[in-house]
Amino acid sequence: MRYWLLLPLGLVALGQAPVTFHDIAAKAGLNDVIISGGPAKNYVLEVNGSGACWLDYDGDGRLDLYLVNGSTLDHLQKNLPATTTNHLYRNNGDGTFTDVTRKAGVPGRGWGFGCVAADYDNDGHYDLFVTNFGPNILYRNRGDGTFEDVTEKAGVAGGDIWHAGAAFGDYDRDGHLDLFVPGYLDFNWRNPELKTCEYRGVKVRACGPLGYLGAPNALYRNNGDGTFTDVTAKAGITDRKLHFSFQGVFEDFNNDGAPDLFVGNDSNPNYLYLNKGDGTFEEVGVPAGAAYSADGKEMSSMGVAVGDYDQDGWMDLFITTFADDNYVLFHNDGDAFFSDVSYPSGVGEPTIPYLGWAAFFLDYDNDGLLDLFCANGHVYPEVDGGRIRETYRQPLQLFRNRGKGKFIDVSREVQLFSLPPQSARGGSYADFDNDGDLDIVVSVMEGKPQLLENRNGNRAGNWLRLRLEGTRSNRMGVGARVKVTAQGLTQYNSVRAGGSYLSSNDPRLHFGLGRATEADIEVTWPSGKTQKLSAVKANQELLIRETP
Amino acid sequence: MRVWLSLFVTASLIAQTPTPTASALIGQAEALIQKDRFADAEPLLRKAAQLEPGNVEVLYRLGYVYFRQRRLPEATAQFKAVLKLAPPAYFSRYFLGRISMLENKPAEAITWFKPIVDAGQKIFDSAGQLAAAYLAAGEPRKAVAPLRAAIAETPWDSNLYYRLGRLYQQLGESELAREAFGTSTRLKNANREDVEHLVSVSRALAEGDSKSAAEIGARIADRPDANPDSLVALGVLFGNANAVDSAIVMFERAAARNQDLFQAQFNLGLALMKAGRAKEALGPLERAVKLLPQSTEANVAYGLAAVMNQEYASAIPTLERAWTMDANNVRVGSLLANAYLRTGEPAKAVPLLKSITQREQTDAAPLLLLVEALAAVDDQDAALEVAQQARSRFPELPQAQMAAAQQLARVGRYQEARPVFEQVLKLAPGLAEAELGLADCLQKAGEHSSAVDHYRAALGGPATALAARLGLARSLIAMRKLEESRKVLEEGLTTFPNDASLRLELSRVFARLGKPELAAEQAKIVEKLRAGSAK
Repeated sequence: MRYWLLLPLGLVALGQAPVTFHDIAAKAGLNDVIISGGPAKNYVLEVNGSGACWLDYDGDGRLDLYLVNGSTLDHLQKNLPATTTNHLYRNNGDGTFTDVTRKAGVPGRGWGFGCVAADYDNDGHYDLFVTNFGPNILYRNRGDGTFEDVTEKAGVAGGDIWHAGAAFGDYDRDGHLDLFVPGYLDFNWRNPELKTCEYRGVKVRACGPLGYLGAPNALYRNNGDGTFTDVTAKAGITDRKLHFSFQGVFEDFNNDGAPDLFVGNDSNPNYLYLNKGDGTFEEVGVPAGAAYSADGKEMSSMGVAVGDYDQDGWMDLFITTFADDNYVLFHNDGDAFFSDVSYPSGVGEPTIPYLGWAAFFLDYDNDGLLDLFCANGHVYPEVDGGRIRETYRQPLQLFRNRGKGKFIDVSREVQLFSLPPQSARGGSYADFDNDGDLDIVVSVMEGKPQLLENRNGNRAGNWLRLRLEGTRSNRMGVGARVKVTAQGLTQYNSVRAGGSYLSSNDPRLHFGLGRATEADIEVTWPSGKTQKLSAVKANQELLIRETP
Repeated sequence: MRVWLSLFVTASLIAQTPTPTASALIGQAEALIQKDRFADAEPLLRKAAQLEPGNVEVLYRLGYVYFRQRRLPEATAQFKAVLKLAPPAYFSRYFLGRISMLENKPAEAITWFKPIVDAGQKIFDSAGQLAAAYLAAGEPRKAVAPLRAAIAETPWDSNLYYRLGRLYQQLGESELAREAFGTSTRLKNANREDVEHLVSVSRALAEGDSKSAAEIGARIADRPDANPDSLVALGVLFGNANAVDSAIVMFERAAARNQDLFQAQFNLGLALMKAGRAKEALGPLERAVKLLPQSTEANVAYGLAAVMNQEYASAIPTLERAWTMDANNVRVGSLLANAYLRTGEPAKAVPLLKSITQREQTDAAPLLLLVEALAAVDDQDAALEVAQQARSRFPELPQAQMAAAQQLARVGRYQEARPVFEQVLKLAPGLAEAELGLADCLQKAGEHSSAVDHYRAALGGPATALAARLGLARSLIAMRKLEESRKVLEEGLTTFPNDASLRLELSRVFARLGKPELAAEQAKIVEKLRAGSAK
């Protein structure tokens, strides 16, 4: 353990360049503006932004990027032709991207919010699910660089409600990925009420979500034939209280082998559905300690990150929340009993001024410890008036894991504070340039996305990238738990599809190894099968296919 | 008395030695002063001053004899020397003030008189002189308070009431003027015997002879046709001598004889407040406000009584009126701001308190109220800034330290709050709120074992009992002391059965104890309670 803690000092001693992030979006060709209503933000519909998903849609081994775009109330109300679309950017492999949206046939429709990439039909190609204000879209990847809209056939449109951050997971472990789609709130776009409310003494217009009715969540079971069945009620996850749900994440929190479901709710208690293993769930948010913050308060949960930051084999949770409140790190004490450790861990106080959205654990410096990234940005442009110290555009934040459950804000050191502040929303990570360190994309309000290239992360430590391919389990290996042991440090991670905020991360698993040059790997597949690999060489991408 | 004693001693010494001492000379000079032979006293005092140049007894008397001879520059030098050698030297200040007035320098006179009156020193007619100085300086509104103080010292003095009436006339306060002139007239017409008795009572009280004072006072009070104004004057004298119960009796009798006598109702209310009977004070003060709504003092007194009785809403109109009448009165402003805060109108309190705290630098109370008001309007950054100011200006005041500590905690800066809470506990050991605050800081730092001790220390505070119990339970859960935590929570439910937070933690404890049914039951109750409170 001491070795790991000493590593950063060792890097300095060796004179290695520090790990930093640089926005290369313009150079990479990510020049399309993401919109979300008008800049004045008169309605709650306009303030939540949209997501970003990484997927290798063309199977060339390089991760491509899908960015969801919003719309304007005017377009909705007057049924105007779309002036904006979602964007699929093909990764050219040379640090640049090409917009292939039209060619691929994935422009989206109406007002988009979230996306999640997963191979729902187990054909080896990443498909795309896009959530909307209104009916969702399931784009099936034909495998030839184009997609087809199979929403109707699949039965996952979800009706004319506001959908948010979806997630795929094989809750019944039948080898087919099921789909959870949270509903946010019931917004009357035809005749919206222009509200005014007060936030910390500042008059603002985009009031909500309190004062609105929530929208229902849905769980769709994958029938394995290209269709889905709504099993929300049958599975016991009916959102009776109509909470304002933002983001769902499938993860096995109690290590019983069955994926559970966490749902981050805005201004309402979060849901934690434990999978009973019989096709049903039990909501245990309150007794599990994940519904409320340490002070017993509802959180304005926006983004959800899952990861085992303290390497104890239990998956922890991190949640971004509203400004003037800290983001919450829930430590999984075992068996899905959570404790709010935001302050002792060091992520409480530095996050208070910010309003957070995208969030994920990632080992940006390859030291074997999961760090934490948060994308920030206020919902109210009016806060810029100077009455309070909060601002609409806010810096991005990165917390480095110092070990022993402690984090330190390194946003300045990694040069995130050097970037112009934005009102960020969705975001996700991927090693898009396949250079052995994790890069980040952030979707911003009324702006071009930020593509943050990680520089020197691959020099800071060795790494392993694992691509899982299920055979009995779902093809993408979603839900597989991977244990990597190298030089005395054991790490755990799972393959997930959907998370952060309205987004999905690199579907491949990335492990920092520090100075270790090889590692032992153990994969526990959703099928229950365990597979071990010994002395795997570092600094490579490895395909692990589930053995029959 | 000391002078005569000195004289005696001096006389004895003269018999033994031909060279007179300074004290002997003082004695001789004093005897001459008593006979108004100031010119004769002067050389003796000058000689004494040569013998003992730093003797303030000599310098003061020398100043006095110069003053009486209208040799003002020489007098000034002597009094200033006394002031320099033995501050605060209120008597010398008084004469310096008088000299300033004689030299037509009222602004300067105010600087001499005001500290005497502010310190509550009854040096000759310094209050009346201060009032005159304010008037001469063109600040009639400021003259009211010292003139009223002068009246309180000699409440039988119809001339002072007359001066007050003139003052109110000058200020355009016709109703107040009419009331003052009325009192003046009634006192002039009062039984001469009453005035003599009042003077006697005043003397007896000054000499601490309360028995004689009561006996003489009874000669006024027990008469069936007792003059209400004389009764009021008598009550004022008793009140000034801290014989509050006697004062109340006099004011009650005065009010009984004339219910429309403003001075009776007003003074009765004040005396009842002074006696700690704020509830009873409300009636007479309300009556006083009705009789004379233009009276700032009556409005302030009623407002204060209402605030003391936590009747904040009814305090506001009178305090607003008083604040309009006297926007320089920081006490009124503070009371009004306090009433705004307690009635859920912190936004109104903020500008008021900002203006007060800019002017008032010596009192921590408005600053602390401003912290509270800013926090209530959710301007936490500003609240913290003001709290830090309060802390730095009043470092020995636990409340100021506490405000800063609590505000730091409120904005999530627990690490910085921790030493400040510790400082509070040094200044006010055992203060439950500080124990709770420190416990929270320790819990946020993950130091649960230490947090537990401080939460336990905060359990006894009525305002902290629930939060301390919750914090204690949470730290015990973190320490895996589940049964202990359960006990703490279940005990809490006996006092706070409808507290959702307690049940929330209890649900967590039951779940971890492997009692999912009990956990679910508590979770359901939480849901119901929260739904109920949301409605």
